[in-house]
Formats: sequence, structure tokens, C-alpha cells
Amino acid sequence: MTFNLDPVALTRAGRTAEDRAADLRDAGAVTTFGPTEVDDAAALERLQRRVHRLASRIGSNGRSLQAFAREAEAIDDRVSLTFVILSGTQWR
Amino acid sequence: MGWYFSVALPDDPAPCHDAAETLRSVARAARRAADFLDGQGALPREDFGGLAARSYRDASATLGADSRGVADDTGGLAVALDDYAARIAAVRRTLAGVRDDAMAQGFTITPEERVESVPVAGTTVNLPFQRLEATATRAHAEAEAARSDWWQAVQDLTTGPLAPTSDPFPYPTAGPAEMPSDTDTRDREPADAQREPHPPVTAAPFAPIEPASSPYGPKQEPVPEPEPVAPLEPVHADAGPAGPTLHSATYVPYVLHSAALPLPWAHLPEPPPTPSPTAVEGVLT
Repeated sequence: MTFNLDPVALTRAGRTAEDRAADLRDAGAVTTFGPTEVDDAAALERLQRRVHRLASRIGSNGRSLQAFAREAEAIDDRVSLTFVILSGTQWR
Repeated sequence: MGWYFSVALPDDPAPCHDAAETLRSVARAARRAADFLDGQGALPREDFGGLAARSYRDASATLGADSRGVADDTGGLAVALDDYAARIAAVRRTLAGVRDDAMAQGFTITPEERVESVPVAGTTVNLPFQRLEATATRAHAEAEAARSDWWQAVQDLTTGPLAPTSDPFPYPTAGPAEMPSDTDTRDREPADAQREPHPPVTAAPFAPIEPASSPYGPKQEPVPEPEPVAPLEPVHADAGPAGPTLHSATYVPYVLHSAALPLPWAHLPEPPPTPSPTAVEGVLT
């Protein structure tokens, strides 16, 4: 099994993913569409939830990527169980 | 007894422009995320290669498409909301003009914002009244059409991938801090997948086989643990060249023998890595 990885690049990418997720989560806190007569609470909830889920997945992948890079950096003369499990990470 | 028509104004749509700006900020954030994820989907193999990297790239490409979908939909909502606000503002101007004309021509304006005309017995409604009534009727119809178009836009643009379909929100709508964790297993409804298809995603070597209607698969399934993990012995680098530490190497390809790590996916073919000019190879046996 071969791994090619650049821990620095992966860590940076993971942090960027977390930043993008936070931006999206903050922006997605929409509280209203407009005047009361055309408000649609159900639609607003759908939009909020959709944005939140997307942000959650992006952030989760970013954290997993950083963990992957950390474990890879820690490898010296043995392969940790954590790294093996991370190798099989199901990205979201 | 008389004739009358309404000149009541619809609600002021000014707050709609603020809401549209908020939606545009969501669209911008989603577009930035999509651009980043597109880049991750095309991450060079020198930076991240191997089976985990392949599944990461696939997942990033899928999430990038989702982000772009959110950006397009929220941008479309902002445009629809601005359009609604502009049309309602025009309706308000028209009805205010009708009201002023009616007052100038001596018609009665009731507290309910109705223009009334009391006809003389045996006569028909007079022409100025008919003209004003027709204008007001057209304005009311335009307001109704604007509401209908906005409503349709809301229905069309808030039901994409990752959006729930009918369940009520299980928590109060407030800040993102109160959002629940992403544990819903109904990620994509079949109808959603058909409405906004994503490019085909190659099955990730580590991911469980997913149903056709769910590009992400079940969410709460645990990470598949490799069967022989328990007796796994530490893998020493004595047999091969001195393994470099990753602390000092920019690109560090590792070659791990499948026999030492008989993972469930070890049988899958792996394309040969692209050698990097600065790469250092280590063989761990």
C-alpha cells in the first residue's frame, strides 16, 4: 500500500475547509425571507438545514484531513492503529 | 348601497431587500466553499496519493457540487425576492395613485381603504370610477402574481440535495450554535437526486456500497474496521532503507506491504504513484 502525502499541504487544506465551513454556517443563519405575508417557515427551515448540513460535512472532512496529516507525521518506525483506521476514513 | 373597490396597500417590501442581501451572502460563502472543494477534488497526487486520497477527492468533488447547488439556489432566491419586492413596490405606487385620483374626483375613501361611489338611482357606474377600479384591479392582480411567483421560487429553490422534505424542524430556528449534529440518515431523497443530479462519483474503495439514491450512504454506520486489527504488530522499518521522518520531508511516500496490513481493501488495485522530485521512499515491512 502506498501513501503519498504532504502533511503541510494537507493540514493547510484541512484548516481552509474548516474556515469555509464556518463562513457558510454563519452566513446560513438566515432568520427571515421578507414580509410576514410571504414568509414560509418550512422553506426557511429547509434552507437553514441544507446549509448547515453542507457546512457540517465540509468541516468534518477538514478535521479528518488534519488528523490524517498529524498521524502521518507521527509515523516513525511503526504504523499506528489510528493511522490505519484513518486510512479507511469514509469522507463525507 | 353603492359601488366600491379596494385601494389597500400590500405590506411594504423594503425588508425583502435586506433578506435578499443575506441570501446573497450565503450564496457567496457557498461559492467560495465550492471553489475550494473543486480544488480539493483535483488535489495533485504528489500532495495526497493513495486509496484514502482517492476517496477524499471523490467526496470533495461531490461536496463541491452540493456547495455550488446551494450557491445557485440561494442566489436564485435572492433574485426572486428582489423581483418580488420591486413588483410590490410598483403595486403600492399604483394603488396610492388611484387613491389620490379618487379623492381628487370626490369619491369617498373609507377607513378600510375602499373607494366608494353612491350612484344616483337608475344610473350606471360612472366612467371615472370604472377607470380607477380597473387600474386598482390590475394592481391587485399584479401583487397576487408577484406573491405566486415568489412562492413558486421558494418551493423550487429550497428543496435541493441535503434539504429535508417534510419533517418539522426539531429545534427552534436560531443561530448556528443551536443546530443539531449532522446525523440525519435521510440525506437525499430520490426525487432530489433526480432533480439535481451530480456527476457520477467513482465508488470510494473504503466506503460501503451505497444505495443508488444516496450518494453519501448511511451516515451513522461506524467506520469499517479492518478485521485483523487486533493482532496487528508494529511494523518496523529494519528490513528496508532507513525510513525518513515526515517532519523533515515535504513529500513522503510510504510503501506499506499489504501482507503486513491485510486491510479489507488491500486487494484493490492502486495506480502507481507519480514520483516527486523531492520524494523520499520508505519501505516498511
